[in-house]
This record gives sequence, C-alpha cells and structure tokens, in this order.
Amino acid sequence: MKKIISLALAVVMLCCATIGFASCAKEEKIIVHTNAFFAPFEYYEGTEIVGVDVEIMNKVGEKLGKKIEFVNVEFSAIIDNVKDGVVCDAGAAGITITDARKEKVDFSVPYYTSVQYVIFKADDTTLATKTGADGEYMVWEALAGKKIGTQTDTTGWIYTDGEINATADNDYGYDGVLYGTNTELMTYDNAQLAADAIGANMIDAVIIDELPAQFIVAANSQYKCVPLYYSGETDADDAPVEEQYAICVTKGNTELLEAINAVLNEMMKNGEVEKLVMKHMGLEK
Amino acid sequence: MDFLSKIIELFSTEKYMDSIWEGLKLTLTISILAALLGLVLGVIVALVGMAKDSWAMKLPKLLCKIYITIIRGTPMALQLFIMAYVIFAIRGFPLVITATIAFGVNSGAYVAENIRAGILSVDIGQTEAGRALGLTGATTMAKIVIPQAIKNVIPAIGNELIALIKETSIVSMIGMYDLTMAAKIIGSGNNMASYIVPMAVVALFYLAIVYLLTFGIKLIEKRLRAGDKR
Repeated sequence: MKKIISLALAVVMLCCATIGFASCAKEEKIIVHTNAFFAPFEYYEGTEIVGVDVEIMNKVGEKLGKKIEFVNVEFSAIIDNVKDGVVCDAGAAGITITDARKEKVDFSVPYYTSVQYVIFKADDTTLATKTGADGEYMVWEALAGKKIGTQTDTTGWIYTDGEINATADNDYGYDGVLYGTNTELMTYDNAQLAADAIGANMIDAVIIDELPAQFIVAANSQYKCVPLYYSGETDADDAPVEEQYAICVTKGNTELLEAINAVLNEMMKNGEVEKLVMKHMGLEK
Repeated sequence: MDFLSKIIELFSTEKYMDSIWEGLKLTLTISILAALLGLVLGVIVALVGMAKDSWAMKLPKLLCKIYITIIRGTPMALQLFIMAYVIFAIRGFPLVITATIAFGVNSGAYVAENIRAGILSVDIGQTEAGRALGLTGATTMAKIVIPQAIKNVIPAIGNELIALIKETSIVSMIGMYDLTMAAKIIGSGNNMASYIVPMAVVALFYLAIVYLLTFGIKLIEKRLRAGDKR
C-alpha cells in the first residue's frame, strides 16, 4: 500500500511542478526559433548565437521593449513550431518564402535575395559548368544521374525533390528537369554534414544557399561552388535559382509582424542589412 | 599532417575549447541527473514488478509492465522528441529538465529489468533457507537476497550507465548544447568547416568519461567481491 501512496504522491508532485512552470513562464519575452548552422545569418560564436537575424530581431525587441531569446532547433521543426505558437513566437533562420510555408505562418517583408549554389569537388570533371556574363555557373541538366545532397526541408531540398520527381501527370503538375534521369536525392541535418559527405565520396554535389556555400568552400580548398541556373532557350536566357528570405511569425500575431516589418523596411532603406551580412561574413571594411 | 595540425588548431583555439567545456558540462549534468532518476525509477519499478500478486498491486504491476514495454520498444530519439515537442511543449520550460526526464525514464526501464534479473539470479534455496530459519519474507529479501543480488547487478547497471552517457549525444537533436553539438558547432561553416576533426576529438572525450566510469565500477565490484573465495 505504501508503495502505491508514494507513487501517487510522486505523480501529484510532478503535475504541480509542471503547472507551476507553465504559469510562471508567461513573462514578456519573445522566443525566436532558429537553426544556428547558417552563417552569416545565425551561427554559434563560442557558446552564443549571433548573426544577421539575431541583430535584426534584437532591434525588434528594442522597439517593442521586450527581451528576445533565440533558441536553436532543427531547421525542419521551425515552421511547425511557429505555426503552433506554443513554444515560440517567431522563426528567423534565413527562411525562404514559399507558398506551402505561407499557409502555415505569416511572413515579414523579404530582406535578402539569395541564389542556390552547387558545391562539388574541384577536380570532378564529370560535372560540366558554363561561363556566362556573371561568371561560371551550372545548369540543372548537368546534375542528371548524380547523387545530390541537401539539408532537410530547405529550399535546396524542395527544388531538387521537385526537379527529380515532378511530371505533368502527378501532384507536382510540372515537368522536372531531372525526372527519370536516375538522379538520387540525399538529405542531411545541415549543409556542413552534406559537404563532408562529398569528401567521403557518398555524394557528388550539394545544393544549398549562396552564403553558407561560400563559407564552406572558403575553408575547404578541395571544394568549389558555382551558382545554380535554370536553363533557358539559349545560354543567354539561363537564369539563377533565386529566392527571398523573410522572418516568420505565428499567424495572427500582427503586433510582432508589424514591428518586424517596420524594422526591416528601415534597415533596408539605409542599407544596413547588406552591412550586417558583410560584417558577419568577416568582410567589414 | 593535415589531420594533426587541425587537432592542434582545435585544442589551441580558446573559442573552440569554450564550446567543448560548455558541451562537456551539459553532457555530464544530463548523464548524472538522468542516471540518478533512472536508478530510483528502476528500483521502484523492479520492486513493484516483483511484488506478490494481490488485488491492490494489480494496477501498479500492469502500469510497470506497460512502461517497460513502451520504453524498451521505442527508439530513444523518438522518446526525446515526444518529451520535448509534445509532453513538455511549454513556453520557457528548461530543456535540461526535459532531457533529464526523457533519459531518466528511459534508463529506469532498463535498470528495472537488470535489477529483476539480479534478484532472480539468487538461488531460490537462499530464500527457502531464510524462511526455514524463521525470518520474515521482508527480512529474507533485505538481509539475504538483496546483498547477493547487488553483486550480480552492478556490472549490468554499469553497462546501462555507459549506454546512457553515450546516448545523451542525441540531445543536439532538440538543439541542446552538449558535446556532440559542440563538435557540430566547431565543425560548422564559419569555424573549421569540416566535421571530421571535431567529431574525432569529441569521441575522445566520451571515451575518457566512460573509461573513468568503468574504472569506478571496477573498484566497487572488487570491493564487493572481497569476501568471495573465487
């Protein structure tokens, strides 16, 4: 009998503790989820999360008079966490605006335009690049039959998945460039792990956003990166795979969204976003 | 050599060592707290599970059975995920507590089974002899069976503790700053931009922790076996 009573007591105590925590945690704090493996937008400097997104959100915090707390989670969890709005208010992780994500969360104004890059071994001659007015680039067709690595749930993953699996007859509703070419898609927890997989001969190329790609290539001389293009009618029509970053908030949180938009508009007008990117790339003059 | 020079670079950069110490602290904190919780939970569950069948014990026994089945039957990574994103999805809830409970609850199930195996390993003749000498059931258990069982249980518990420490490496999945996360951060694009060296270094740290623990367990075992004429 004693055991039952003590067990029951333990359960009651656990419940009390949980409720206690839940009630005392309602402070005036904005919790922002991020994935701190995306330099220069957010990365760990020793034990602290820093980066462009962090500085933007701190300005928003100043404006609203609230404290900003950044929490590091898996990138693929951010959108759903922000959608639920229970454990966080906003997501700032260089998130690209897509239609599927727009259904779940509200996006701020875009503050940065990025292009997709391909990382591959510098001595890999099987991957053909072209040279255009803006320098060397690669078209999707060059990746046919290769093993491509991406970070789970990033736009690199979404685009590659579309190009490989889409035909006009299935749910995607358009013709993928790599459909039926035996191209394989592998997903990794972050870009660095995918890049290491090239070195370990597990995959041939990684598709990831421009700035993280440049960071990785700068520190690894055996890799090379070039922008990824959609091929047009002629070579001159080839266009880069562009996308726009924004900060997302839980649907209906207009106060926070308006504050973020105000801060972003102001920062873009005086070129502060570009300056922050340069600063966190280590290129400050 | 490139590999060696990178190891030296890692150990001589203050920023990287800060990351490793921070990670080491969290790994140790979670391991120790979860081990304690697991031991307590394991003992309770083992005792309830082995209690005599009676009307009052029916429900607790069933709960213990369900607990062990579920915990041993599902991957630790998924248990941690459910703890963090479903059960303790509360604003500002400290992640250390989430992780401690997740690992403690997991470890408890294994410890319970280890303890049960230890008690069962003591010959039934020992209990019969105790009862024949006029001791009560509880005294026989406490003075005759358990002291012998402990000796048999210690290696298995040690095994479980080692597994627990290494398994904490998955907390980086929910964004916690443990040793594995430290390696990921040191290996990320803006730092060394290669996972290979930091992962190898962190593996050495895990090895060192486990080696120290093994050493401690060996000492305890030696002391317990001092009376044996084996």
